[in-house]
Amino acid sequence: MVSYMRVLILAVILSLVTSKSFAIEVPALMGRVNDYAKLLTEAERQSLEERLTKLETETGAQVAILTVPNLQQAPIDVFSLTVAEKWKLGQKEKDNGILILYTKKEDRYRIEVGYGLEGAIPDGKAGEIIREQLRGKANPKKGTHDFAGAFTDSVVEISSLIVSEHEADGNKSGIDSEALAGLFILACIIAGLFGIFHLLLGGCVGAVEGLAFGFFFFDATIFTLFVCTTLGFIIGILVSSLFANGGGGGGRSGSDAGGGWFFSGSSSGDGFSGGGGSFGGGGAGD
Amino acid sequence: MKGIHIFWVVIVLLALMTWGTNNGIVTKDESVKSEWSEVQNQLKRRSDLIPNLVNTVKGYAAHEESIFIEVTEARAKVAQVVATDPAKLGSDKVLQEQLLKAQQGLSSSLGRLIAVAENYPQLKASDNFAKLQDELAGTENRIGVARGRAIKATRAYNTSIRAFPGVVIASMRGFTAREYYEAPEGTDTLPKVEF
Repeated sequence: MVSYMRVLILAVILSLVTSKSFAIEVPALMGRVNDYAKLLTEAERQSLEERLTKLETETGAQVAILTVPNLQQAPIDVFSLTVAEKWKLGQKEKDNGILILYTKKEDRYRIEVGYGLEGAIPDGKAGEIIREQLRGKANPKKGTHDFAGAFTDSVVEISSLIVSEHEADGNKSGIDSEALAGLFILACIIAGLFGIFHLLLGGCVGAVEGLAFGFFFFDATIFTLFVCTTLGFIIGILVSSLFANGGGGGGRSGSDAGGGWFFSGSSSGDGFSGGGGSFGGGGAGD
Repeated sequence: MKGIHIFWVVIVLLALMTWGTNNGIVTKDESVKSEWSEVQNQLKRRSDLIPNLVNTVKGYAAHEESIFIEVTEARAKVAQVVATDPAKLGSDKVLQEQLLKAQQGLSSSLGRLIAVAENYPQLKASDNFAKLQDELAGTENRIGVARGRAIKATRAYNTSIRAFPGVVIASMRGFTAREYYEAPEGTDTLPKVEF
């Protein structure tokens, strides 16, 4: 395949000329969907943004779409990696970023996969997504131009792969760090309320909560459970002493366990920035 | 301020600087090692992919013996160079050059294998074959990226032990510059395959 030869040549070039940057001007990161080639309507862009935001909320993975009018004379692999690294898609510790790139002039796709997602989306799978979901619906060479449909299908497929791996790793999909923080605060308040009666009681309640946290949200090894229970006890006592000293009866008693305690998800679009994830050159293109 | 106080302040500052510089060099040194290690990881990964690819092609084009032998030999050659002394890879220019040349040999053989496979429409259309090509292309890309980063890390390390104050610490602690191989441009052309 032509693309394979390109990569061979590219790999050799990359291995030699390390400081040459091809003078690529990396487009500014505007959000999760960056449609510089103007292929999508505002409504389509918004809909994709929502899907990608939801994916990040559920799994932490940062997937971004970029369409450009041309590759600025650079090979697509170099272009794609340069952008992904500049935008730093993915969380720093997990490297769970993905860049879906389409260039209008050269009519080529590339999916750049971060280190952390190479298990969920190996190169062969990335290639398949390009062949089936993307080219299936938007293949200018063959006359089809449904870019919104193409991106949507590919995002659906990628999301399902990421979520499956995320759940298989023992995470409960939907409980992200913000929800966890909310639950933690709730737990502290409960412990504190008990602690008003007796500090030790607050500590014990904290210990029990710690045990539950460790069991449900982290791995249930003896060590983790022990650490969580102990921390829970200590935090329980600390919070209790705060409650015991702090004024009047009850303090914050409006502790409904419903949605009110969960920090509302970041409003879609604004303030999206990369989490510091890194890429190793994995992925596929056509 | 008494002279003796100034003296101690200077000593402490020097100690801190020394500590900081030393850590900087050590970190960079480790970085070089880990980047070269990554290059080896990716080479191994490609090496592991190859038998699968060869077998898939054999399934459709069994009599194309010569290319299978060529690929297998080229693969063995790369493994042989890496096995000589993996730990030295990060500082041995000659070894790096040998590795690059062996790798180029393997890459061209693989290119020829793919070209041969293109003559068999059923193979060409098979999903498995397409995926293997993606995997191979992805790994080639990774090797290139890893090598690029390794050389970049080497340069950063070398700079840190040559510039002041690193040069002082380096000579005291025995850090030496690491050689790296950079092929002159134009000596790395691959055979063009006509479609």
